[in-house]
Amino acid sequence: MQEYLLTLFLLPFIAATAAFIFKRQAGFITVIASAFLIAASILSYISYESSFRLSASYLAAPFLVLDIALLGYFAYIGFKSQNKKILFLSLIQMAILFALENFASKEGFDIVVDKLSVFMFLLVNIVGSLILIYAVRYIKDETPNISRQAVFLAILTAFLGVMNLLVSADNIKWLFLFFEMTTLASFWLIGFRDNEESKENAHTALWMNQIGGVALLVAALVAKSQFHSVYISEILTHGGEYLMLFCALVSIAALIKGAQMPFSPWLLGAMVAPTPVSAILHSSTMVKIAPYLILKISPAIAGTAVGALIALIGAVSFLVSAALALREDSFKKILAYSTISLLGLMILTASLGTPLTILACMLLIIFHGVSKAMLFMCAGILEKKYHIKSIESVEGLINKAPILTSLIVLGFLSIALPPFGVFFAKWLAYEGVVGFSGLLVAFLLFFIAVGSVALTLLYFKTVGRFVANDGAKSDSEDYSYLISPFVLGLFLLSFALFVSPAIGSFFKDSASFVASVAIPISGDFWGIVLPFGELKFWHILAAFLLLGVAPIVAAKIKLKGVDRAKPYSCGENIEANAYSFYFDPAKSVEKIANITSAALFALIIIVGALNI
Amino acid sequence: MIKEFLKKFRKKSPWLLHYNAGSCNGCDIEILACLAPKYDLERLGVKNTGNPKQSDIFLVTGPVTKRSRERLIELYSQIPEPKVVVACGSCTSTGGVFRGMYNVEDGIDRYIPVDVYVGGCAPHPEQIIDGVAKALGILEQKTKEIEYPKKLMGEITEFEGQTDKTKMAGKI
Amino acid sequence: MSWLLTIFAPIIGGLLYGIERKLKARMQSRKGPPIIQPFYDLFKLTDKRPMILHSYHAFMGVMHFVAAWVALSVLFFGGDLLVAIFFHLLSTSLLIVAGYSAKSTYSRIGSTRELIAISALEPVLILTAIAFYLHTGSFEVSKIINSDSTFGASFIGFLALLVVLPGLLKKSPFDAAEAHQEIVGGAEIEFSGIFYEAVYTAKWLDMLFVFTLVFLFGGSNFVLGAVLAVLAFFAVLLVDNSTARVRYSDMVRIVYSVAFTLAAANIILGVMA
Repeated sequence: MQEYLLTLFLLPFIAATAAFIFKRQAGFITVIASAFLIAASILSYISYESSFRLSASYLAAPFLVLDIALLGYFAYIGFKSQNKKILFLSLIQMAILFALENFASKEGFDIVVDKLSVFMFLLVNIVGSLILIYAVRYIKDETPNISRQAVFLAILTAFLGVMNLLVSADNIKWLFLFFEMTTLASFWLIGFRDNEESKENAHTALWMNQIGGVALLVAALVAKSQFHSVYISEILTHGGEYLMLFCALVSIAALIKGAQMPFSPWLLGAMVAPTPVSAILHSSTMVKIAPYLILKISPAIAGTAVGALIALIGAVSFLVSAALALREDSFKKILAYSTISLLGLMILTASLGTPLTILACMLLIIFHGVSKAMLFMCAGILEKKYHIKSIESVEGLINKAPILTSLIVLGFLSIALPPFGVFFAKWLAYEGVVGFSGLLVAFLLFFIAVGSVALTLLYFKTVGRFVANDGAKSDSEDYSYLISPFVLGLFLLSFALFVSPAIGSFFKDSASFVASVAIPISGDFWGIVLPFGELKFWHILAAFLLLGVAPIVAAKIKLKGVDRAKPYSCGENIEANAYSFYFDPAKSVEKIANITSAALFALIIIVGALNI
Repeated sequence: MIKEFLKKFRKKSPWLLHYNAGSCNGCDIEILACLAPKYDLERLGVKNTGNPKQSDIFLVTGPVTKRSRERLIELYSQIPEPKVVVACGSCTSTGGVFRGMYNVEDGIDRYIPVDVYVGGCAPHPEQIIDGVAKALGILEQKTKEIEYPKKLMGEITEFEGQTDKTKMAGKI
Repeated sequence: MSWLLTIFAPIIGGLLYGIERKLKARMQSRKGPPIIQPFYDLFKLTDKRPMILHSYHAFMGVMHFVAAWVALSVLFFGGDLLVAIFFHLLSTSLLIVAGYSAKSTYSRIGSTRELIAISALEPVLILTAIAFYLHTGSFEVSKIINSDSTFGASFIGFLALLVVLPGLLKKSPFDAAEAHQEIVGGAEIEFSGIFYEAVYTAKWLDMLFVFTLVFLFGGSNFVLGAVLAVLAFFAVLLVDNSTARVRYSDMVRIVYSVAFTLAAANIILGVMA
């Protein structure tokens, strides 16, 4: 397995450097590297027997230098752009970093590749590589400048390497380094387009994520000074009165990375970046650090007050982001709000920590990553080929570009309804959340019920715009653009049909590792069996045919022998039209939600410190 | 044989489309009275749909004013065959009191083929029910061929194996 | 038994619809159509010249009917209640997508209103299902039918379900989605002939679905369940005949402040007990 890990950790950086040097061949290098990464991640999962541990204390000094260089660069950016927040936060981070050196730490393993890491490898590398292949085509339309194209592809490829390292890091100082490297990648890529708006949004993303970095460093300080260890797996088994404070601080970093309220503006502003950036960073991989970190600390926070507060923040973001999305008509903004919302659900389920909710979280991580990546890639095609940014301009798109529209409709349906993965996550969330007893859970259930129906309203409103049909002829489509979304669409459809064996084997294995107890679910080809509910195969088949196959057939079918008539408009001979539905009153909720969430954030730290 | 079986049910569930082509509303009030509890057309299965695509009987009132000509033909073309037209009131049949005036077209039978004329100004609900019942008898004999309006006829084209009636109603 | 119920569901639903129309007429001191009137409508509609807007719209309408039948069969075969509710949501969503695909104002407004209606009604259904779990320990309909009646323990939940019943059946006061005098039927406006027959039959199946949910409150006491279903039927009919339509925004407000609150209180009581 070592050779696959070597590929996953080192190949992205080698490929990135090669792409940076050989500018003309950057696309080719990226595609080859992607193929290797996909293969390596799948093979690492198949060949996994036990966790792989690596101790690399010789890297402590070089990484410290890298840390200081990184923070120095952030400080320089803050200084150059007169942004006091960035400068201030960088200096704080450097101070804490130096303070860390005063404490000694026990020995341990810096890199621990366990089942959760391998699970995340699959998501990061398969989805990330497909997006890289798409980016090779996309970047040609974005800028004709060859060296800028090469820089873009190089940063994206290197980012995948950073993500691979991040999900394998057990040393919290290494985690901080890779965390801030993803912040750096986000900063560079959001500001890629070099206009006023991009630069401002890049700075917002930078300082908000730096707060997360500060939280991680303070957590490291707490761990090193009180537990004399920087190794997360060891810290979590320690217990003791500072464990809750440690978990609270790590979860703060996770929540900020996951753009939960009130820290959502950075993700919403990041939508000005080119679409592959939105697809990789801000929907599929980087923001998945949030549920990943919560899953990592879930054995320690399950059933505690800190866990309950994290779940509440997730619930509030879930509901309010879904409601706020109803005000938007920009396609990418709708996707961004929906990402924040579903991240809230992932954080909610992960922090509750029961076996079924952990399974639900992992299902959501994979399926949301796949669906959103596909949707963002389609958003990029809409932007570049059809110059459409708003959902109000997509009338007749289903006739001009049937494959693209079918993929978009499939993407939205797959986040909403059975038999697609995200529905199962919601079903398991209901079934798993009720297994827990208590008033808090009832309260969370209300949030989930109303939030998921608000999301359904959002998705069907958008799907409704895309199926607006005017009976025109279809143009030819650009297939080179459509390869990656099409592959992801096929993945969604095939997983929809075989979801029950997949849940019974793949997801159950990964989840039982995280939950460290047996998960009361059994799934094979004939359905999924839970202690108090069952999903039979014919349900899955019916849902697959009705939702997966029917929209595609409907787009292609031509009924013969029937008359065509005009729509009814009281006998008038006019072209009637109606726009979509926008829920402006949601704005008033935003302020209250932000204040509540901020209060909850403060409460998490206080509760963690007082060790309630 | 199935066709014969299904034809019997045309009488049993006639759905109305009621259109006012410039009437003084007298006939409209009488028609609505038919649906009220005293005369209760609903016991014959009649439903007043507002939608031509789901109706069989086109119940028109009013002499056709110049504004309502195109809409009359448009609604007529959107009713799927088999359909019957009932001209309700003497204005609708012959122009009534307004015959020969500058602003009316003297009844709908210049524009669409009428099956039953119900006279009166305004006709009694019983007369209207009688007219509808006669129309149902005629409905049972009709075929599913496309029925054309007499004037303001647009065009009917073929489109990928389907008959395209979207331009069937013409414009002035 | 489940097979029989599922295969004859349209016939049972049609009779139910016909009885409802007759009772409504009697309440208005009219005579009303015969009870098998829906079947007359069915045969008449199949005998019309078929007319569609475009194939997508017609096909999705038929899929709406199929999905409604599948939702009903999930219930009849004793499946998971949450899954049945999700299939019901799926069936309504297919009608909404069909409504949006037509280039007709009324159709789209109707679809939008239908979407807003389900965003108000579905949470109450989900909370009802969770209440069933809390009192019987399972989401499976086959187990709920065999355990004790939850009517007493979950009485507030029953009231909440009663409040949303008119909305689910698209009757006054919550029929903004199909406001006949206002938007001429909403999403079902552009269907004609046999395609309208599919949407029409789906309405019968929806009615059967909803009253089966009410029946489940009786648990193993089938008599109690039947009595509750009949009472709910009369209550819905009475409310339909005597109330006016409320605006869709008011509908959401009423459903959330009354039905959702009752259902939420029911769950909290169930958890604390």
